[in-house]
Amino acid sequence: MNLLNALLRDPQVVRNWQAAEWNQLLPLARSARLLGRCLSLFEQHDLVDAVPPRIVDQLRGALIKTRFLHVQALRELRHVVRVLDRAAIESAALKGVAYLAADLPPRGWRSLSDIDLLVREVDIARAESALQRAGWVPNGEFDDYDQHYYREWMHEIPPLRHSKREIEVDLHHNLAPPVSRIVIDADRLWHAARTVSDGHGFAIKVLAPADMLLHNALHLFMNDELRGGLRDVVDFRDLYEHFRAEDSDFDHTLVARAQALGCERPLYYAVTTGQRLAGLQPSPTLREAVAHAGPPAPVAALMAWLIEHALAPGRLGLRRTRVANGLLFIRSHWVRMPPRMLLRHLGHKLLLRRKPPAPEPDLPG
Amino acid sequence: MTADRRLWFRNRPDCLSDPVCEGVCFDPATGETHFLGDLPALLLSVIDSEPVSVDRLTQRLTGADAIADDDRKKMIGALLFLEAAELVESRFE
Amino acid sequence: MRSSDSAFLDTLGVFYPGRAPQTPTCVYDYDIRVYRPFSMRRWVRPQIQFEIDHLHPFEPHPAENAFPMYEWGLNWCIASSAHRYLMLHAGSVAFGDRAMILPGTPGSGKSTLSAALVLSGARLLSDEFGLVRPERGDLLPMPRGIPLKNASIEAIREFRTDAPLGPTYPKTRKGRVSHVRPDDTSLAQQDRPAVPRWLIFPKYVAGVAETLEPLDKTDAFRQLAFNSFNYRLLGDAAFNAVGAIIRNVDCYTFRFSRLERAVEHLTALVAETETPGT
Repeated sequence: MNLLNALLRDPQVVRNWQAAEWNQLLPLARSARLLGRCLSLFEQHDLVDAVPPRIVDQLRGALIKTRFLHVQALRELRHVVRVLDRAAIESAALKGVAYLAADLPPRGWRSLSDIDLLVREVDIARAESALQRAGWVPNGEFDDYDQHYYREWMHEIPPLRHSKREIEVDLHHNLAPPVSRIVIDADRLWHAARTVSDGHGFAIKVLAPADMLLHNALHLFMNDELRGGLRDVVDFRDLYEHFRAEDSDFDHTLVARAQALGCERPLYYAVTTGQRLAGLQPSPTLREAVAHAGPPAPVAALMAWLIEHALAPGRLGLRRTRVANGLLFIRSHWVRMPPRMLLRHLGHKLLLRRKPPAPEPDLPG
Repeated sequence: MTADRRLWFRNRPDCLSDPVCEGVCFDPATGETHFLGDLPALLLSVIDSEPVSVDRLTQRLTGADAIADDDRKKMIGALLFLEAAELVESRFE
Repeated sequence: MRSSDSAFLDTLGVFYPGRAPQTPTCVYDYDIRVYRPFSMRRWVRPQIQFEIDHLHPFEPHPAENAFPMYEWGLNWCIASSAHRYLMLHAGSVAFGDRAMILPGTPGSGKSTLSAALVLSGARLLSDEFGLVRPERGDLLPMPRGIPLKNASIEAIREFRTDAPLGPTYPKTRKGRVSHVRPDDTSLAQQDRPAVPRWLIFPKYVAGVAETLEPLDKTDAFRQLAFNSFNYRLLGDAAFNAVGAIIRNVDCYTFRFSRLERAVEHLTALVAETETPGT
């Protein structure tokens, strides 16, 4: 637990904060990509006057950048969907850009640098070539191994980017990798998906509310990049609160859907982590449902420790955080690859590829 | 010219224009600022969410039913420029 | 700001006197540390590491360049987060509360010209970042050391033999660099904003006679937007702010070669422009 988690659980704590606390919060929120969420929390709870102006400036600055990315993400989504529509390929927005298009609460603060779309497995090759013909190019260099990794083992193709714009496009054909232990029938997702308008009369498909939450849970606990993980936990909380306010029966729907899609364990992790680290308040129905879905007690305790040190380090740059991240990285591959494949993949990653440091951005001065 | 047979429209919020600098406008749908010449700026001001033909646009701009071939080419050039700038869209009739 | 490098702290003390690195009661934007990482290299070729919020966005640099690297790292912090403001890539100086904005790409001579104006009595707002509050359209001062590169160092020495220059760093990634220390008045008035009144696009051209030419407002709009770090990012707020600045300023291009004559031209322009209310 750190100050950011304390703030997410109870925003009123900031009334007692001194400079030392604020100085700890800023780097934590910056690295978790939650600066915008902090500002919206302060606004919701009428706390902006209790925040030092310098901090408010930083939070507003972050939110301005986020709003720019929102415009660019929706613009990219329109372009991609237009191309896919013309090729008669159905697509659905996922994650951040779906929250934007469907005007769900994370729209108020959530940053994003890429957009994710779901297409059917039979369409994915055609979708990729349609986009490439229309000016999208692979974003980065991918050797044969990478290509193989994305296409054969994962549920996506290497990321694309239009040569004139900056937002990355990730196409998926499922929410969980085909080789992982959780197998999701994508047809069921398509069946439940609904159509929304992006606010300017542009129609776009998004997942059903329960599927959106389960995707969030899957993504958080199967992803190898846990650094941004706390943001996913906060997304889960915000979406859950929103859907529940809209539909009093939502808890039952969510639990039933988790069972139907075989996602009880990810839902267990999302709910328990949200409670501990992000002030999530699940209903008794949900709490009870996930109570039976956890791993055996020692594993649950270990996972809680790992997740806490990876997602909520006391401060940045701690050795414990790196250890926890390392173990979770291996675990995330463990749950999505058969052991033999995992060894090959990790071996390849560790031995053959040490990326050179990023070049320094060019700046005056 | 295939562009000749298309319908033109803009299904987004209007651009903001600068009150002093003519042709300078901001498109909220893309976040881009454009520096438009006279003809594209004029055209943009008469295109809305209803898809219309080049002839209809001509009528809106000049009040006349027909224009010289050269002027028509210029109109189409300006429309294609606006489309490349993501300021208008087109579809076939 | 914290550092264990005493040579670096001494330089910092010369440039920002009385601005103590940090006190426990102060809220800061970034947690910055400048230190020598522990390694064998420490004894052979000492290096300096720039740390922001416990992260290391840059490779270590040779220790003797600690101060230029600190200034550069600080610019990086500002450019990547101060989106509350429209950040013009421009020098800016003030005459009273009226500001002159001098945008320019590297090599245009904007830093040198800003330094010369400040050495002639103008107040330094910033040599690099014109920080505009979009909702008010005024400039916030951020007086820091003005980095002069290569031949500009001699040009300023020639312009004012007593110019307060810091140490010269012969080998930075930008070549030879020396900083002009901001004057006490500019530092004392760093909370006093200024309203843009002149927008001047300087261009150093060797041997040219100084010429000030009025610039079309639409061109000025385009160039000011182009010379901004975060114009696109701020969207309609930047569009409106740039439009408002363009409406309120006189716009010129300015070709110059001799600092003495250049400063005369610009101060004459200021004297000619009526102050509000007279």
